[in-house]
Amino acid sequence: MGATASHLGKDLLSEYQELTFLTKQEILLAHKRFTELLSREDKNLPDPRAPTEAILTLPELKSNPFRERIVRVFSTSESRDGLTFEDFLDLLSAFSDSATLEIKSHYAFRIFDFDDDGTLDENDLEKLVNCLTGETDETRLTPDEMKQLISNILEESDIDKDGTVNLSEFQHVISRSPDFVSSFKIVL
Amino acid sequence: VWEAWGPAHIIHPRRLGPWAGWEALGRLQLWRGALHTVESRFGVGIKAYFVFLRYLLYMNLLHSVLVLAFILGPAAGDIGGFLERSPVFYGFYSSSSSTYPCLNPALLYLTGVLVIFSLSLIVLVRRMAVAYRRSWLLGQRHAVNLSLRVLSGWDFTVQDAAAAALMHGLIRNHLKLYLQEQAFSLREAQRTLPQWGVLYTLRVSLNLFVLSLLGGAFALIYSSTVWSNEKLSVEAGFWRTLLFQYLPAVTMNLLNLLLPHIFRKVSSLEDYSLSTQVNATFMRSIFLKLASLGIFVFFIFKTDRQQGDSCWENQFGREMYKLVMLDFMASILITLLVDLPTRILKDTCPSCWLARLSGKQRFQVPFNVLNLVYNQTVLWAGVFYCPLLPLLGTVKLVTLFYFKKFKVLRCCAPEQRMFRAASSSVLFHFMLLLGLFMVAGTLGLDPSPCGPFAGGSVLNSTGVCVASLPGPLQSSLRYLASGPFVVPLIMAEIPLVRRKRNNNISLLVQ
Repeated sequence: MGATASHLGKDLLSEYQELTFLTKQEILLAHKRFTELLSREDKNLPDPRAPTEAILTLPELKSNPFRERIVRVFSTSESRDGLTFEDFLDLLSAFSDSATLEIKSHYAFRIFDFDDDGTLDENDLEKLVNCLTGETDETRLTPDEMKQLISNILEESDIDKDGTVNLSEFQHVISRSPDFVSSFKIVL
Repeated sequence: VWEAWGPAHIIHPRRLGPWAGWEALGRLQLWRGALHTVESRFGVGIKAYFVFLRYLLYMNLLHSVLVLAFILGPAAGDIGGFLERSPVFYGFYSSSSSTYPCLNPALLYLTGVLVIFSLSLIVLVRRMAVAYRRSWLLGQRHAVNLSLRVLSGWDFTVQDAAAAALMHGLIRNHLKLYLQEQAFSLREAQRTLPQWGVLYTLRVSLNLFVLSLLGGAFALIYSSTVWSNEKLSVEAGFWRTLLFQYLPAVTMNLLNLLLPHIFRKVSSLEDYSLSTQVNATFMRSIFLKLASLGIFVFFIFKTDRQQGDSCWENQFGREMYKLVMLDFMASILITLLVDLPTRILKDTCPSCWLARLSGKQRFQVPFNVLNLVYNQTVLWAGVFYCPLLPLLGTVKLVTLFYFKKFKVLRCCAPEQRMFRAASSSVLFHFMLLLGLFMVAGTLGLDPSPCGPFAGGSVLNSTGVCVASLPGPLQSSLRYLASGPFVVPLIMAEIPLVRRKRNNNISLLVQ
């Protein structure tokens, strides 16, 4: 489905509209913003890929502690690096106003699963907490606090007691959060 | 709603509903951004100090307006006094007679001061009830869902770097607070019976130690007062007179400076939770401070009237004014001459022995709140004798806010241990109430020939007015003024607060 860099075909636009939670205006805006991220040579390629560094400079992602994970999760390339326009639309669709709790929590789980093994183990949780509190030594929790916090989380959420939080356990916790749907959102 | 936890509503308070109006009002509160910055770096405990300061500022603003309306306004028309004395003090306000017995300056003066006191009382009791209710409710739900805090903790809509830094701080401080509380209660639950026995023996003996320190301090202040009084009555040289004049004040200040630090050490030995430690230090220090202030005020009263000054009220007002100014100068000078140089030294030469010796600076909430309560008590004590004191208090608190903010953000290191503000907040207001009651006792002493009540007693001037009223009104007024009526009035306030305040509390305490 080669989208030419300069403009989006009418058929393609309505197809994207069908496949995502985005409106026509949102798709056009996304296309404009995506094109700005491409270098001059890339714009002429059939299915160009915006490099990760360029995507991370977007103001919507710049201050997000999970920005690198977000790009990795939505990237379809072999090396999990850079996004095509369709990847970018997938990202915006999952973070849009109208995406369902199920979809949002699915992607949140994948973003927090730092080693991509399909389950949140102690290392994933530790990285997640460090992202939340800030990465510097001064802002991190002490090792004892971290241990205590992780054992708390596992005690509360790990229903089958296998030492990790799997997708359905994760979604069970998230479904009790009143703010998740409204805060898991990135709109251009 | 109780705890400003969910980051979504801290930075984007977009929820609609019946409380949208309250939230809009909350955004209009003074220094909101500064308080958020302090909270994200230092936690709710230290923010509580600044919230308390802001609350006192509002109260003093209200007092200033009342002073202008009741006391300064009526006096402005009376030019005679202007040239002789300054409107700062009691003696300026004359007792010129008026054709209406109920509209004389004396009565307005009295009404002004009484309105200030009763409004303070109502506002304080109300605020205390609100804070109490809040801490009680928080105590009810100790089981906090930490997984939710972590797994849905980040607000992905945040774009601003400063807002993101703020959110990192808030999340970190809240997590630390919960984890420390949990670890403490776990340790408490694991104590064996003999360990409890040892701990209780330790606590009881430490309390006895504190009591003996307090008793010793009062005895020292009292005896230094009596002793220097005796010495002053005998003729002596200039330096000796100066020494004995200031001996009681110096003794009092030294004790107030030293003992709170001992109290802090004591409460760290008692192995309470950090919130309780803060509260215990605060309680012990405030008793010392208010009681020594009481002794000091009593002493001034006595000497002023012994000296046969024609207007001892002016003298007393001047002393209160001095106390407020001294306290103010002390806090500013300490920030400028101690905190700031230490900080600069640490930045320029972190490995110097001097820099390492001074250690990390901490913002001690109990001591700072102590000063605020003390300051407010002096302001109340002086308002009758020095009516412009609330205006001075307002200016002082605004300046103090910026100095303390500077101190905390630039000179102090972030705390590793967090404490909860809710229970402390009840205590702060209770101590303020205690100060108010203490001060109310000094009103209505028989006045000197100057000022609005010239010669006659305070009750005399009201008597003139009451006597001109018809009979039934007179008796009902007497009933209203009696003690048995005031107590149920205060009691009635509490359930009223409980019913009306339901969910809007978080806003009040923000």
